[in-house]
Amino acid sequence: MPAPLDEDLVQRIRTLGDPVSRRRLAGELFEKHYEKVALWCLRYADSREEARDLAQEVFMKAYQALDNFQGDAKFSTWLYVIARHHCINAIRGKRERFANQTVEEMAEEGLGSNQGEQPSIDEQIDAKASLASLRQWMQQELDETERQVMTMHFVHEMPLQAITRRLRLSNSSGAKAYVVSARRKLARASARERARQERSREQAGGGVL
Amino acid sequence: MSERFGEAFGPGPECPELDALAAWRDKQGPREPYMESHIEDCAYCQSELALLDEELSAVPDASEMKDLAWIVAALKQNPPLGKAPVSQGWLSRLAEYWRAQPVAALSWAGATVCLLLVAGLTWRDNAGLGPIPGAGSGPPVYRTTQMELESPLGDVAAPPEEFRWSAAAGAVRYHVQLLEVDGTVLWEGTSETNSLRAPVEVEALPVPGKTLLWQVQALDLQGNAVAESARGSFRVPAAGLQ
Repeated sequence: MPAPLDEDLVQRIRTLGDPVSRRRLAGELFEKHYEKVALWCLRYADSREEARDLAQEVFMKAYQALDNFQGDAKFSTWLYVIARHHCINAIRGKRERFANQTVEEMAEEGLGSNQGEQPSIDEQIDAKASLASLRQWMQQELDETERQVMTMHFVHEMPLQAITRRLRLSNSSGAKAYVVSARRKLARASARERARQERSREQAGGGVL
Repeated sequence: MSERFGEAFGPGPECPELDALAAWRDKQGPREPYMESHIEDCAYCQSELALLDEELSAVPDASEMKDLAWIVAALKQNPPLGKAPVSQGWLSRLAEYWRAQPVAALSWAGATVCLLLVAGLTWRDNAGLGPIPGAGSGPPVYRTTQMELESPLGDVAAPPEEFRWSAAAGAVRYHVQLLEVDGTVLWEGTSETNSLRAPVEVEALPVPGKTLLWQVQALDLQGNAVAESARGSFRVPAAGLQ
């Protein structure tokens, strides 16, 4: 007899009134996904102990949310979404450490506020550039890894070290190098845009004179 | 600039939530044209989808195998939903098998009855009938399904001052355990009612954002377990401790 699909098992679990049977069958379903969830958590966590705790919590959250599973996505995808949210929230929980690290990293990279004569990379990106322009440059100028690193760092607020581990970046400075290259590309795009606007203004001025 | 990057790289008002994006990815058959065109133009959604694809198809490399095996072994040792009560397992399995495969279950039941009849008749012919020694003695066995944890469960505003659960038939006292998610026992206590006030040291235990588990076992006069709850979890969010 072929093994029942995960989605069918979820349906069966939802029909069970007896909490013991429900828990046991859910436990069997989850056991099929131990390795996958453990791997996801391992790549977000600082240690295998932390990954184990995260995996435990992911399965408990999944069990509590089992009645909300609509079947729109595969069960494994649904479980992944829970794991992803949970792991990112756990990393955000270490916010204080992250905040310190970011300041240190920014100083190290020379990306923060300008200390010397040369403008920092961020200052080279026109402060007046619209969000639409920034989004367009991100789409056009950055490669997929740079976009992922920037999204994980600036949107999901993940430390660079965690992103390096998560994306398994093998270069010596990991995610930091991608942030630097992405910012340089954005600064160049910003400079090009400023030059284009200045040319337009000059042309418009020349026309009047 | 970091805030602007966050804003620029983050989801726009039209971007779907991750679960909707995941459902879109898994969808069989035609997809909504609106989503197709949005994703085509949206760097954030493209980035999220790329990550989704990569993580869902992830396979461990050699350097991860050892840690992965250790975590899986730890999960098997301490299953996230707790271990199912042994005394009840086979009955539940039988009931479930009956529901899932009624025809096969009926056949097995018929075959079992025939076997028992043959075995019983053979035994009676050889040994005669008599009372079964010890029948009717021993501690009463109660169903374990009626015992539920009440509080604390889920996210709680403050460290718990009291643990509450539903009463179990035949129980004269309850044994409460507070555990780490890996099963390490942090604190144990007993109560003769279906609640237990948490001592001060327990109130100090929750770390912000860290999930803790608790479980209750109902005991009879002789100290036999007559019921056991599932493991419940609770967490005091960081804001709750400030």
